[in-house]
Amino acid sequence: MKLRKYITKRIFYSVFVLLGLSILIFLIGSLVPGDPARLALGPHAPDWAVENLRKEMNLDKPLYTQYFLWLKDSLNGDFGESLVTRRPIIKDIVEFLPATLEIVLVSAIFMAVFGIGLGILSARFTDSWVEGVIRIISYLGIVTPAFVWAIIFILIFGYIIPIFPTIGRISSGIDLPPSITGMITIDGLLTGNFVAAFNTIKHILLPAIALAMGGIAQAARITRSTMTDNMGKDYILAAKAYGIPQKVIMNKLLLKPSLIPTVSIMALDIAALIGNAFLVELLFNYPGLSRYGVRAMLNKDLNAISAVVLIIGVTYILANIIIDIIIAYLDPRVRYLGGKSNG
Amino acid sequence: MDNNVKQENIDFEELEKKQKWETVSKLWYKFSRNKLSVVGLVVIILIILAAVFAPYIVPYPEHGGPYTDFMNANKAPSSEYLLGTDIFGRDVLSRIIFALRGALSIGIVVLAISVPIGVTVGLIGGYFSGTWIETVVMRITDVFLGIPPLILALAIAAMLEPNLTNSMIAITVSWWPWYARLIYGMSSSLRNEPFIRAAELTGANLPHILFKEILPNCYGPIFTKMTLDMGWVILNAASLSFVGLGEQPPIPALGNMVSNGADYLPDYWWMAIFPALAIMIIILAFNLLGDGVRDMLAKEEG
Repeated sequence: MKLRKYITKRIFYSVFVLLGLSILIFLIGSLVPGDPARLALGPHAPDWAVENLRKEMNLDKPLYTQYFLWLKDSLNGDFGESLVTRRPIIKDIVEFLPATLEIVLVSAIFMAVFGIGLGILSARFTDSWVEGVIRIISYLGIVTPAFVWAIIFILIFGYIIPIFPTIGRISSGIDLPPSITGMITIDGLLTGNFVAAFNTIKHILLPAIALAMGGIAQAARITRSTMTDNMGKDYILAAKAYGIPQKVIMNKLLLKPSLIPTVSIMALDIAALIGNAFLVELLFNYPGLSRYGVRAMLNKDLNAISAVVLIIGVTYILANIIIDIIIAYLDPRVRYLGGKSNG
Repeated sequence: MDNNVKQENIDFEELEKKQKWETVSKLWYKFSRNKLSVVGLVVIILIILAAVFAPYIVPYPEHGGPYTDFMNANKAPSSEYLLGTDIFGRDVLSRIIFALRGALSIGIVVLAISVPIGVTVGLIGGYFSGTWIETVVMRITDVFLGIPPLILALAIAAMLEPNLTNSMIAITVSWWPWYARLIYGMSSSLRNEPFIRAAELTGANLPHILFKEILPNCYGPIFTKMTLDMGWVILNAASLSFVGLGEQPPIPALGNMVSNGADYLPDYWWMAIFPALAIMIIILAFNLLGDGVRDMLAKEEG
């Protein structure tokens, strides 16, 4: 089938981008002015210790050898030790990544469901007050940064009407389910620990909505404008003339092609979402990969920064593949012509 | 004979002047049809004026630096301190106005560097579409697009000293690929237009074809995107300083004012809310202006 061929091509291409990205990340890592080993150990460390660390970090070898050694280790899941805590970074990532994935997934679902939902709603009620309200909401959503939403939510739901927790991932004193995926909601549901799952969902809700607001607004705006554009097109008029029921026109003929631009723009929304998670996790003091990444960045913890950025790159590229597959499903032109994703 | 030519020249110049004036008034008409765009423009002019004349218009000019006045710390908004004071007793309004300077200069510098780079890369990629040059140039661009821009900027900023200049560098590196991609799409479709073929046949050199023939057709989307991006670059700079990788205290920056203020929620809400509001107003104003620029430069239909 054509779709399978397209997906294979797309994945092959992503591997290439990922390889390029690894070079980019490696080069950024070598931007640090001065000696990373000295930086890690501080000015008072004896010279032999610095020399040992330099050897351990392969800093005594030429740049391209360093790169290949780093790539080989990274592919094996060995990102080295944190220069600050001396813990293996992979352990930290296994601990923190699922927490961030949980938020990002919930947020992406909100974005798709509410964004497209509001868009359809406002396209259906063109020129009524519903459309006006949705338009104002979507403008506000687009210009309000995620961290501002987070602050507003913390103020409202943390202090004024304290119905949601605004700190951490799970309340203390609740038994954690055994780690299967690392995502407490899923693990909790799988093992029957509903208390933990429900408590985690309560913790996730506010940060996830804060992250999703911009994307919801964007998706609503684009879905609305494509749907209203498409409504005037000949094939819809023809379908109406044939007497095809309104419901079928809306759901089958109009919706599918109208979602293509919305889904395409979601690649950008997810980029913004992952970036903003860095700020939102800090505000909610949420123990995820982003907060871990910020700490690493502030400490100039080279190994940890490279690992976090690489993991985020892989996640983002995977998200892009999924989006492109959805687009290929929605848009036969992409499937059959093998159109470029960046078209 | 000589005289005649001169006479014609003068006429031509006058005609051109008249035409120019007509285009300007036509553009203004298109821009101002949407009243919100005019509002955006006015707000931006006010923001720029406030930033430029900050030391003369702020109520407490000395509060823009490492000033402390613990007697007046944590004061709620009042007639004396319109937006309240921070934990060091500095006027929040004065600090917001001072922070506008850094914010605007980041926006301007980042766009002034990243747009020419991105546009040139995109023009080259599009013009040479189908050749190995396109492959090399655009695949490098794709690598930069393979990571969320804020993460790339954060990673670069983390490696350098945290300050205004390095924030500019970090954001610039993450910003040019978006212009490369935008212009690449347009120039690769323009590439086979007859006027480009004609220029090639007359022996025009590469810079002429890229910048004089192809580029002018891309001005509309470029200027629209630049206007919108001013707001987004300022937001990214605020995000850097929010996590502590941008401008450092005591220099006022919108991002670090929000994050420092957030520690004192809810009691001292004004410390975080007002700088956050300032960021929102800036983004909103550039968005409104961007919509107007889009209307203004949109090709007439029909």
